[in-house]
Amino acid sequence: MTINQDTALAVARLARLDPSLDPVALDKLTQDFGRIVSYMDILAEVDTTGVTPMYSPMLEPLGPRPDEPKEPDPQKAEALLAAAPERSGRFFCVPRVV
Amino acid sequence: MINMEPVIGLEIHAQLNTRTKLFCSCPVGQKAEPNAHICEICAGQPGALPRLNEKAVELAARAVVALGGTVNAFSLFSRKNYFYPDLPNGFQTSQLDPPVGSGGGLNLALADGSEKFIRLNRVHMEDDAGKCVHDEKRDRTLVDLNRAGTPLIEIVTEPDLSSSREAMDFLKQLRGLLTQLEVTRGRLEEGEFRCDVNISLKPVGSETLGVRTEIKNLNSFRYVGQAIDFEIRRQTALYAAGYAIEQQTLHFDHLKAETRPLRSKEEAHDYRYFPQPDLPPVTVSPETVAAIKETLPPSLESVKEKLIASGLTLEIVNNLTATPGALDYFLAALKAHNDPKRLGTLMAELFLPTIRSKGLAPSEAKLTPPKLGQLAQLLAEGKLGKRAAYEMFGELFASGEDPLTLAGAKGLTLVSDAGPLLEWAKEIVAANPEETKLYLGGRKKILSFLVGQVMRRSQGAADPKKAAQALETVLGALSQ
Ligand SMILES: [Zn+2]
Repeated sequence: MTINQDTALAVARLARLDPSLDPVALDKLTQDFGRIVSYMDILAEVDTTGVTPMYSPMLEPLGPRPDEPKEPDPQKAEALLAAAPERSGRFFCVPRVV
Repeated sequence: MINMEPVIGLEIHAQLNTRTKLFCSCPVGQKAEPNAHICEICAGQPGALPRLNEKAVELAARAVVALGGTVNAFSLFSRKNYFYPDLPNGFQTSQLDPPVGSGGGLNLALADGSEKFIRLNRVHMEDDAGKCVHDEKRDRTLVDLNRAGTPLIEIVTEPDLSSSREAMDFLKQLRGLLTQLEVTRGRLEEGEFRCDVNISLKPVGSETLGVRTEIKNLNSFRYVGQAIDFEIRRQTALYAAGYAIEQQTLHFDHLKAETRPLRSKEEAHDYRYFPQPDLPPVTVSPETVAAIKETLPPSLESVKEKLIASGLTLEIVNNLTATPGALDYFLAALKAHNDPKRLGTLMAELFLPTIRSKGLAPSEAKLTPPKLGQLAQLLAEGKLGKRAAYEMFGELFASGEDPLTLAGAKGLTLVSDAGPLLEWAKEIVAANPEETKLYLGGRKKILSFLVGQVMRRSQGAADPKKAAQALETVLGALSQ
């Protein structure tokens, strides 16, 4: 698969990158994408017939847990709110949507 | 002009009845201050590792089994990527392929008494988003993540529905089933049961589907009906005027009862799904599926069949199954009085209209199932007349008192003691010599006239069967 500028622009838009990317930056982005995707092409050459797919990179994935609630931790909630770029009282605050 | 018919499919989101979120141990469904029930996982912090709630899987599998689908022994979570402030990870964790359940369906009871099988495409698990509140004054959006990570199942139907009526009835039936199984609490006003509607028109008899539109996030059965009706009219008008239908996502404005294009996040329908590497595949063993099958209560249809076989009319059965909780109440009352017909009639004629008028659930009534059973028992034993039962029902319902005690206190119990009945019988026989002669001459049917006289004399307090016996005794003595 090759990446042209249209594809790069579409992906940039989906990732909420500035669509008015200057031509030099767009060109660099397109080439970066292209290199990454062609590396995947190399990986795809490996014959994986009969190999069990790896669904998780974790060596010992965590299995399901029981449905037992943890006591809410006000300090943790406060820390998460405090870490946000902007907050308003108990809310996270972001530029207006819709 | 070609006649067009609507083709409707539904995507139903039901909140699973768990105590914690899908991938973390934060509580769900509790009232709390904004962002009180959040942690690294549901707030989408880097490096946090999600861990699947086993109860959610069990409930999802339960829904699949009850809907006659196949529980896939192996299913995967994927990331559905899009950006919106209520989605802290930048992706929704959902299932693409394979989902937890495939196929199945529901026999939809139609108004004319027939049935239509509505096929299901799939059932999958996913997590809910948080909530946005718009701060008009400051022109900012405020985000509360308490709901973020709440476990949902999405049930996707095939486009087998053909009217707003069918869609609404299907949703009611599905909700009834899933709440009965405790898969979801299904409270519409809490957003625990909501749906998206896909709708297109096709020429009558044609197999080719037209371009469809999708109406998002309807959380009331009435809105579903109104939105579908509006959209059918809108699309029909466009076709008639020669315009093409545009594939788009719509929002239903319930105040104006019309659909409008949704501008926000749906503009790019490219979710770039890929397997969620932080979660291992979901496995459900055949033993688990077998165990779920064991614990499933009998299906609503088989319960209905049984009730009809026990002598109840279809009307009463539908009455019992249409009100949530009424069937359970009825079955509990049957333990106190095992005559489904008598009890079903009492339910349909007295109990259900009363709870409906008071806006109560059957379980909230002070009049408990055993007490309603006792009332039926009193009627059966002839200790209480039908008219008296109806007369005292309002008071009985309000107080939840013992029916026999209340009837006694109100002087409504029937007199079945031989003493007063014989006195009345003698009086009536003496007062009606003509009829007495006819009876003694062989006109046995005249007895019912005499019973009527006793009833009148007793002001309705006499037990008619016992009164007849008393009259027979008195008349028998005369003939000797
Ligand atoms: Zn959490």
